[in-house]
Amino acid sequence: MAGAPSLGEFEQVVLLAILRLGENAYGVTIGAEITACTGREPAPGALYTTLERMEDKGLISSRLGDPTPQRGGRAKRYFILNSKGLAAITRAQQSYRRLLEGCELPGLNYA
Amino acid sequence: MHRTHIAEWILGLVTSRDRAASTVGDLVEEASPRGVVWFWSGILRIAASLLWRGVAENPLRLAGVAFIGLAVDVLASLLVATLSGLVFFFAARSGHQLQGNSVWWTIGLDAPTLFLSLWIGRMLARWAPGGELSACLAYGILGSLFSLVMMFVAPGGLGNSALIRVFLSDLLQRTPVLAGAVWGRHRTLAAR
Repeated sequence: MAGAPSLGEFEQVVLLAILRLGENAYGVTIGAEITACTGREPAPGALYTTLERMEDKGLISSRLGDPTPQRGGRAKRYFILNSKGLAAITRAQQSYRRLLEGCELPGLNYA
Repeated sequence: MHRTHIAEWILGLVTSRDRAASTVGDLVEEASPRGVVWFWSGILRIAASLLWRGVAENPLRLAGVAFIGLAVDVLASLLVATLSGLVFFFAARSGHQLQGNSVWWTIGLDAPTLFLSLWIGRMLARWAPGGELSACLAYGILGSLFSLVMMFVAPGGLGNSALIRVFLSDLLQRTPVLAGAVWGRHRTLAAR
């Protein structure tokens, strides 16, 4: 996993949301998943800029779905994690876990 | 819906066409319960965020492009000022009285300035393919900094009102540059 790029907090949140959603990860569902899990609604500017940046960095890739009338005839762009993205999020979460080991937080036990 | 085509055009200025289309599709899907204001604020915030991303990810390159654009602007403005000074000088020597505030004189001075600004916008777009409007933003920031520095170097009525005047006149002068950059962006997209 050496060489995996370091991730910012919001990048990790977006990658985890994509991972949770599996095949149904596109802009609307990613935003909704982040809101449901964190209680914070992501700003559209931050979400789409992060998705574009991570795609350019090769952390995620996208494919276009079929156009739907509900969206004014525009296709959904579905995102999936690439191996590079998976390596980066794994490394980031391992670092968090190591930091949490031995810490006592209310409602959490990582000892 | 006509408005979505405008939204797609705005986002298409700062990202690829297919990304712009799918992003607008997402916002259309979410806009029905949230309303028009939410839709447009979303479009403008995404566009601003993508525009700034272009500057933040290549600051040195875009600063270089903006600096060259600004240098061309300053040199050409000096040339226009020199030429107009020469016209006044020779007219005065030959006994003609030129009206500096006449319509024709204003058009004669403003037309080359307008054309120059459009051309600079077009050049910025050519020098920064894929980041045409980000280059224009970098040019605007550098130009405003330059104006501020010039105000302190050669103060003429320095004060809050002067600062606001400089800011507003800068904003007006940048509009044709922005139009030139948008034109360049369309040329880039058409060439793909």
